[in-house]
Amino acid sequence: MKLTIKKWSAINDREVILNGESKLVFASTAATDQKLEAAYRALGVAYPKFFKMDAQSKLGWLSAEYLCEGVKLFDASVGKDVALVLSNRKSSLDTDEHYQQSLTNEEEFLPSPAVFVYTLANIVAGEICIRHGIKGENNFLISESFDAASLVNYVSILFEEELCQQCLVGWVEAYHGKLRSVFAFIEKTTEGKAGLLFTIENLNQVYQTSEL
Amino acid sequence: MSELISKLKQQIVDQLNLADVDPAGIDENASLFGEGLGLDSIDALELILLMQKNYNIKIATAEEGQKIFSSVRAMADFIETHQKA
Repeated sequence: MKLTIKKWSAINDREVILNGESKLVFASTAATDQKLEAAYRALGVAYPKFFKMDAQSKLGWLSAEYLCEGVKLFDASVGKDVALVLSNRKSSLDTDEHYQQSLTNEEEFLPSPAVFVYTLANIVAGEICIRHGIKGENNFLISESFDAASLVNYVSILFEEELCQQCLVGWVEAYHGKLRSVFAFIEKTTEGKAGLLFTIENLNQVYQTSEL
Repeated sequence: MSELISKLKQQIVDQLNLADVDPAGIDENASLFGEGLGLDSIDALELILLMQKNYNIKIATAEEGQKIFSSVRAMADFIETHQKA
């Protein structure tokens, strides 16, 4: 079965990229939170919960949002046929460390429940599923580096086993102020329709293209 | 009382990261959950923390919490009663 990368988005410390074109360049002096907020404001959507998320969930949420260009990708009725497969190296370590610090503050021992809920890597997947009505297979894989081979293999099996009709796949990591995400929207190849074949080589190329 | 209500509104916006909410625009009589500010269960936990951190008030039971967090005014009433006691 042939699969196509219909669209892809990426966010790094410098810019937001959609299908290889720069959509937004961050101010070089902006802090991580300011970059994420600038990307959110540029979309022109109203989603108050965005401000409650940790940096990694904001990054993943924005990556999915830019992929959809501010429009919901899926009809709720097909949500069960949409899969989401994400990956990164550091899991939720950024927020884990933040939460750990709050636990060690003996003078003011009041750790925040709102921080605690983000001490799992797959919370970002949940935020995206809620936003886009995705109810299909979802998984978050941890690997030493961007592993296009595993991602292509995993997603191909999902399609072959008819566990999904469409899939969002990618990498999302926010750690110590460094942002890096690449999301690709995958569907079955339609003859005559333009698109990049979903292969290890092409997925790697997409990842490298969006590198700083 | 009105001073306490204004202060509480600002504290709620800060504690819950309600970035686009103007504290002055919060109706102190409106429900905090559901229709009003649309807060969720994690926000409820953050409100408990707010009361503990800023007013040294510990919420004893879920029933008590439900009553206290029904609106900003209910929170302010409870704080005032607690401070007089």
